[in-house]
Amino acid sequence: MNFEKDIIFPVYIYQDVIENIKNLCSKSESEIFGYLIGSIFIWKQIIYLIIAESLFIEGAVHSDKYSTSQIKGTAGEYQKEFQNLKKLKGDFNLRIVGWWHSHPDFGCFLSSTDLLTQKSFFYKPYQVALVVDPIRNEFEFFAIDNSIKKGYKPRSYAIIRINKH
Amino acid sequence: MIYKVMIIKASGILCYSKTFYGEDKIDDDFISGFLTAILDISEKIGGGEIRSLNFRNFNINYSYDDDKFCIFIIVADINDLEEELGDKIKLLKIEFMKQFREAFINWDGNISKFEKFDAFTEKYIYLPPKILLIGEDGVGKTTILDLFPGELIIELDDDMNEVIQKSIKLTNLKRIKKCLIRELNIEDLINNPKGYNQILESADIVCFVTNSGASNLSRTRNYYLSIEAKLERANCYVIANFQDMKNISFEPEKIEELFGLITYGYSAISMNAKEQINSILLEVLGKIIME
Repeated sequence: MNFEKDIIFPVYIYQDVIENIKNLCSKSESEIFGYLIGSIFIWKQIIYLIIAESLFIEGAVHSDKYSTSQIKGTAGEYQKEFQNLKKLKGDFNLRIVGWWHSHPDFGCFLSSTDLLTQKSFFYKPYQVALVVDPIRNEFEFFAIDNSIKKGYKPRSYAIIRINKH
Repeated sequence: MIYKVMIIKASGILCYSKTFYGEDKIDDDFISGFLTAILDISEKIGGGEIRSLNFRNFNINYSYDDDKFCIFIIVADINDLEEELGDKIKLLKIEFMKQFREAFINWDGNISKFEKFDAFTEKYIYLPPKILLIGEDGVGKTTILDLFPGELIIELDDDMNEVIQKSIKLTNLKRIKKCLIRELNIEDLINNPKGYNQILESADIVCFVTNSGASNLSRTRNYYLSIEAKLERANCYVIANFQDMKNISFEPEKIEELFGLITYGYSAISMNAKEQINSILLEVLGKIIME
């Protein structure tokens, strides 16, 4: 095991956040989506993500039949919720670090629509897409990578478990 | 298996590290700096102290001492029991602070002061790799165990199953000084499929022992296929025993094709049976170090 290579992963997510997202995905037969909220930290000039919260608004549905304007149309609701969340957490350094959505029983990857969404709305180099397949019990993080043919790459992650105060 | 132990001053400076398995030519200061950085920021935004970071194949377990002078870190296999690791980390904390508390408070940054802690970690923190021998009655599992000195111990696991095991000392491997060999009967596993989950999932190496005869091979292979998913993290092999019975035994190469697993031909009653099995164990354990 090469610790240096295997420990310095780009994405960290709290256990209760990923469990919450998986739980939400498992309750819906259609694709659902939400935002990933967290902080970035820089260590030795490299950016790492810590995903501390997720936002989901019931009724907002992501599907290939919706154009990106549909996503934009729901952005206003998310903005309001996001601002509320920041006030609640007392942390104005929280930011949108990506988005999540479900692929019920068709595996974890970014479709062409997903990739367009990522490039349109989550184009910052640190922003990621989390895809959850609740039927196959899988999830993966992805980020844009224009140097490869399919345009995106998987991102390695670790789950943070904490002792609550 | 515990791969590594680190003790880091709360400021992020590494004061002690011990690698049991894995790459040792790495910058421990680099890693300890990163682990401290993520600890600091995670606690600020997460509302609690980090207990562990769970990666794909291993976990990093954290604990502070009571005064928060330092952070104790154990890097262990993902299937190691949390309770067992919790006990180890507690032991590590207590003993380190008992031996070095005063020296630590006035520490000048010289890590050689803590090197003698190796004697403690090697004896009390190290978790030996677990090798599981699975096979039907009469294929030679107990004969293999009897080749090694020491007592056979029967323990009850958390599911109240009897587990026969022996601790074996090793001398030819750089890092692995001992291992634990357990044997399980296939029929018991078939009759109680869920009952042995913990033993299967905690094994680092699984060796299916066969008598190399057709019907035994067939049953053993079917059983292997039925539990393959539970053995994802273990390295699996076949020990094709009874190779001295040429008329009825399939050759190791054929068995390897049948199982799709590396197969070692063996004869537990041969004059050099102990050397043979020792050589097999060294080879399979050596692969863990290299991974």
